[in-house]
Amino acid sequence: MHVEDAPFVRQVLAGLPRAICPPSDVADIAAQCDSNDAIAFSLEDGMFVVQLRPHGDELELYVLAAVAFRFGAFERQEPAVLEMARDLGAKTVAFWARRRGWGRRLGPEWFRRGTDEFVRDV
Amino acid sequence: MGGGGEVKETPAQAAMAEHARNLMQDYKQRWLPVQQNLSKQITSMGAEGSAQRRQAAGMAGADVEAKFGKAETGLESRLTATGAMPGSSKANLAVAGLGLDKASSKAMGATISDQHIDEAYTRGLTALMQLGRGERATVGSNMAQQAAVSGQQAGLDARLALDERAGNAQLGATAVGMGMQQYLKPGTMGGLNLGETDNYRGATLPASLRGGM
Repeated sequence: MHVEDAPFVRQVLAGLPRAICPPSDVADIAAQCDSNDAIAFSLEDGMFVVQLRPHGDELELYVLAAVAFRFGAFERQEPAVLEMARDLGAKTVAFWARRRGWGRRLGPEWFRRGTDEFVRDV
Repeated sequence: MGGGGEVKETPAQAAMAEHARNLMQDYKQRWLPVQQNLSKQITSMGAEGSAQRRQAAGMAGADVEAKFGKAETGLESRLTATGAMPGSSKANLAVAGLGLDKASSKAMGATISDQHIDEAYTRGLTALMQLGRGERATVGSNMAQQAAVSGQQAGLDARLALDERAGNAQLGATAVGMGMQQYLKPGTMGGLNLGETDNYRGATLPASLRGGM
């Protein structure tokens, strides 16, 4: 697992369809990596950008973006993200589903929050 | 109508956000490189033919050489004391037998040291998981442990071999004669039957650990 910088994040996210990740979102996420408000990681399976943020009285590891380079990346890397959340002291992990169908794909430990967000306990 | 409808961050929320950012930076700068280095070290240690495996096998072999070197000296003294002259069949038998024990001990030592590396690798992986869970973990030097064990094992093997070979040289003529018949069967090398799976001690050794003489 490697820590990546903003240009790498910009390059990967720019390859996504505009409907999934508009240029404004790309710029925003890259800027957060630049200002150290978020960390981007890359591995063989893909890339993900996470941010530790308060949620109520607890901390939450929020996945700002995740791009799979291979099929099955989510299943393989979910444990790694959970470990990271524990290391950081987060109580929950959450993400905003940019694509449809996550409700069917995620396991029972995940709950829908709002319209398009999903969250689970660490 | 006043106000922009904007919800301002409370001081507590701002402090919490700052705390979260500090935790992330700490993780990125301090903890993540440690974890990645440890992971790399443990992975490379467990790899086939890794430097640690070769070093462990070498250490086990060196221990065997050292301990059996002493045993060989001890054997010569004891043979002389019992009247078995150098070059006599009694002496040759005992020395050759000790050589065989040494080869067996070396092979066993190499296998055991490799197993220790496997165990150290597994312990290392477990320690990585424990660290990730925020638990205490001891990632100590398993090479030091392995060194102590291989030295002890080699010493024990050499002592046992010396006692047996020296003791066997004191057997009466009949017993030695019977032993000589056993060892002078056709198809043996140097008077030793390498096809036997029972060593002089009576324990059964795998065929793959004998021979090589």
